[in-house]
Amino acid sequence: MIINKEVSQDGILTLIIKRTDDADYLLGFENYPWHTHGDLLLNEYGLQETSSERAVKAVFTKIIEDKIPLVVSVINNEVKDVRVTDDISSELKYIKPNEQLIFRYWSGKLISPK
Amino acid sequence: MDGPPIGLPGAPPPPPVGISGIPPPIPTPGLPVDPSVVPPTNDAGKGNIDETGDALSGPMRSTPDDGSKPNDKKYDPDQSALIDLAKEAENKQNLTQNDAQTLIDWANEYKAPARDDTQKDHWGNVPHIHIGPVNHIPVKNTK
Repeated sequence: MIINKEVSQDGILTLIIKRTDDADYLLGFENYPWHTHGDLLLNEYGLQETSSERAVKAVFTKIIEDKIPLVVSVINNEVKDVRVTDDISSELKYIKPNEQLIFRYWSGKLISPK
Repeated sequence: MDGPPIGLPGAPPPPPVGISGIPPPIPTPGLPVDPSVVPPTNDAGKGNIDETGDALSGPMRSTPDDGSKPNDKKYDPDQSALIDLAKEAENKQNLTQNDAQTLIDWANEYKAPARDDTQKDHWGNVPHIHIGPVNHIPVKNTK
């Protein structure tokens, strides 16, 4: 069940939080494979949260407040995946053949990797 | 896996069969100097490009000024090696169930965050695992 949903101003990204029947909280971008889970986020992004639900909601908020960089993976002019990143250099290291990466924030502001 | 991986501690774990030997990325012909980065195809970011590359400054900046990888601080060498393997596996998209289990075992051994979601259908009905910051590594239905 989707419990939070936000669409970016440019209409490209739809960020959702899902709650499963077994009380698992998932965060990801609708229609794209990347997602993460509350339990994996507890020690990430400087969170002080102690519950999976609160961790997911905290990261959700950080994303839409432009505090977490996003990576859009494009292959053959088609968006294949959208994910958050904390390591742009690593993203570039593992870029796939024919893949293009767009680094941006939720607002659409681009990030120029050094 | 029957026992702990060979070559530890201090050295990267040996890659499981099937996720090693990834060739370096091949530049896409015809693209500018850095083929990995392209402007967006939508209008949202126009006129709003951070030319300085300093968009990552502030509390969420994760790339240290000394050029070292942020993972160097966040993860120990074994965990970083494991994450590298996970990224390779995510890239190749051909992780077998056995290889997935090996990565999960190593993650448990090195106390890296991980999830085995090979039996779950909560996101796109695709069996997958999570290793550290590498989320949604699809797993094939073969051993």
